[in-house]
Amino acid sequence: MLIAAVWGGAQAEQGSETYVPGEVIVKYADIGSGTAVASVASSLNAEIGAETIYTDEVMGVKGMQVVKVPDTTSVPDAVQFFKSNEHVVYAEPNYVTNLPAPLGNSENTVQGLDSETPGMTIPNDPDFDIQWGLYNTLNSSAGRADISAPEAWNISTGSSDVIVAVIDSGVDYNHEDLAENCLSGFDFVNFDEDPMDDNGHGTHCAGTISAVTDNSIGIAGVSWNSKILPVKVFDATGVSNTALEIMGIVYAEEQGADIISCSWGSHIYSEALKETIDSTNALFVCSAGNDGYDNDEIPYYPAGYNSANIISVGASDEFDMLTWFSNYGAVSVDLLAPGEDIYSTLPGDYGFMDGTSMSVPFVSGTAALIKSEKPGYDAGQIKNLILNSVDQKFWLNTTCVTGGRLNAYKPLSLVLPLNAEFKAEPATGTIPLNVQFVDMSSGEPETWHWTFGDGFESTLQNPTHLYMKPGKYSITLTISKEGLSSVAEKENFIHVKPPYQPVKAFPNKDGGFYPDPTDADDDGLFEDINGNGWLEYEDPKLLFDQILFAMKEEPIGQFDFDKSGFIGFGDVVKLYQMV
Amino acid sequence: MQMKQTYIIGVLGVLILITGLIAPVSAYSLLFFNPSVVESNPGEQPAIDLIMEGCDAGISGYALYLTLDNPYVASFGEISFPSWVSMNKVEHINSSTILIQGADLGNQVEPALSISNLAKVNIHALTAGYATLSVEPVIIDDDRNGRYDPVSKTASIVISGAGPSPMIPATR
Repeated sequence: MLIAAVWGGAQAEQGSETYVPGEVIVKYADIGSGTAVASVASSLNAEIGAETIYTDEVMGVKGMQVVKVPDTTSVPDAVQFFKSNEHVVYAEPNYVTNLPAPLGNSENTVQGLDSETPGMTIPNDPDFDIQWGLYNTLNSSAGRADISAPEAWNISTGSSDVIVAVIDSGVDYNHEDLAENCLSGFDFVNFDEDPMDDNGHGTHCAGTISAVTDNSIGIAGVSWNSKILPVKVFDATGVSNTALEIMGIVYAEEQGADIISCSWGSHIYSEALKETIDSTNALFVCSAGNDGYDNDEIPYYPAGYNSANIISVGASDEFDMLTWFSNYGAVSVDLLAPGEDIYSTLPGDYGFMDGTSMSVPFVSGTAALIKSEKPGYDAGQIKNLILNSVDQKFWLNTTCVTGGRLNAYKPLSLVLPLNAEFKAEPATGTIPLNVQFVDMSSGEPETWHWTFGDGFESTLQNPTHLYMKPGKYSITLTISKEGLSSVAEKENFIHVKPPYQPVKAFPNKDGGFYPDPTDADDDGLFEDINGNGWLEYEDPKLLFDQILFAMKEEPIGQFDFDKSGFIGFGDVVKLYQMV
Repeated sequence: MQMKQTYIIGVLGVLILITGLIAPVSAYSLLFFNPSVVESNPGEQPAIDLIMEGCDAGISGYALYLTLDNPYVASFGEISFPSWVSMNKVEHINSSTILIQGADLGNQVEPALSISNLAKVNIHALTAGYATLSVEPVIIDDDRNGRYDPVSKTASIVISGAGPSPMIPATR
């Protein structure tokens, strides 16, 4: 149904190059050996007069071919012809994809980086102060609206083992701020091994993802050390097609890409493209589009494919608002990321660009940071982590699934970071109290430093400590690993009571006795002198009236409120002050 | 010779006086009554202040026994307390002895106050005769988790009337 609807739209747009003239993508069913597929394909091609442009070997997808039909046969007719064969799973035009047109250069806004706070890592790249998407100091009173990159970098700056494929117009792999992080890629437009960017779009995206950072040159990337795999599928004019995109994806997968950054798309559904994405293990980060549309009503692909390994990204501005151009969708767009006035690398240069294309690299870079720290996480886990830790804004509820903007720090803080935690057994008891402390920290700390509140310390992971004096003790555990540290502090966590001795009921005026005093708050002191269950003025008054009785009959420890070492009027005053 | 003895006695007296002036300031605390001798007539109710001197560490509270050794001559009347004694108690132990208690809940008698009124004792002058008013401290606690151990002095109650005037014994 959906295919038919899209197909109808494609037919209507045939004259405006919605698809590559004469080209059809054909996917054959698995009918046994490759020879069998080739035989069927050869037979069908001969029947319609088509010739194979890309074999399934070139495409990298078993059973998928791209053929070119004669000018005398329309693409819709050819598609119908192939689909009518029982061995063809699907056939579709080779749809054209256009990179978003530039939305105009933005203002060059210079920020002052004088509001650095502890817990941040600020790189020395000279233009970092105009990369508001990473660290927005201008808007601090209304919330920073950036992705909290400095906080994230305090945890991780990315691993060179993580590969982010930038499937785009290529990358200026010679750029002073990119070269060190660029791998050898491939150019599927010219079918060679030189994916030089002749458009600029891909280089801009690559810079945000992984520009060489803290090198005193240019800009900072989200993931400082991750590798960029340039995959050129868009030509100098920003045009590509489904076949090139599929080949680029298959290539990226073969090269071990962990994240595939796709700052492009169209409103046309391609079964071939979706199937290719679904069969790939990498995480796809895809732009939601720049039409200002509701993608729930007018889908945009590949962002809109219902695939577990796709994140759909819209664009936010410096005030955490949806940008005027960004597509949105309470169901079909996952989150927003900075996409306006984004400063990054351009071929041999730097510059500003706007668009959801610019939002995608922030998410791709963040995914790379997570993958760096959690290599075992699959695409779904990384996706869930990112989506579950956005900075939610109520006014964004209707713009995307999460109702929030990307935060790079939060997902990292959830997965890697040291998080100090402990328990103690027993936490309460009478002296001498021997307490077993148990480290329950996450993040596999390497060192431990305990303070027990009584002047003693330990560096063991699970120490025991003997308390010899009554009191309440606050405990701190400081753990560290590779320069990171985390502190857990629990105030008055250990409660050491004096040795218990039976208390006696206080006399009343009638010659009888009140109920036994009680220790309602279980602190070892029997504040409830008259035993009625709560502390009130009558309690210090009774202690005052019967001070001589108390001195003679009661155990000191339970009534020594002022810690003087004896029962006296100081205890009356202290108890009164406690009422 | 007479001159020399007078000179020596004079020097000793000055030394004793100096010693007496210095020692009370730092060495001990003292409970005493003011006035120390009360002359009254039957039916009257003279008042005597109970004072503590040397309470340099403040007072958190006290418990004291007061005794009139001749209940036929004088008995206890109303016991009143100064304003700092925000919690108080008077308990009649027997015909001649009472227990008085006071606590400074508001921390008004703070350290550095060297002298303080503890109570005002009213006496019922019953009949002509002589009685001694004495104070026996049970506990007097300071504000520094310490406890005083004061010396106490008595007061003499002289009730005038028919018959010979009673002889006043020396104060303890």
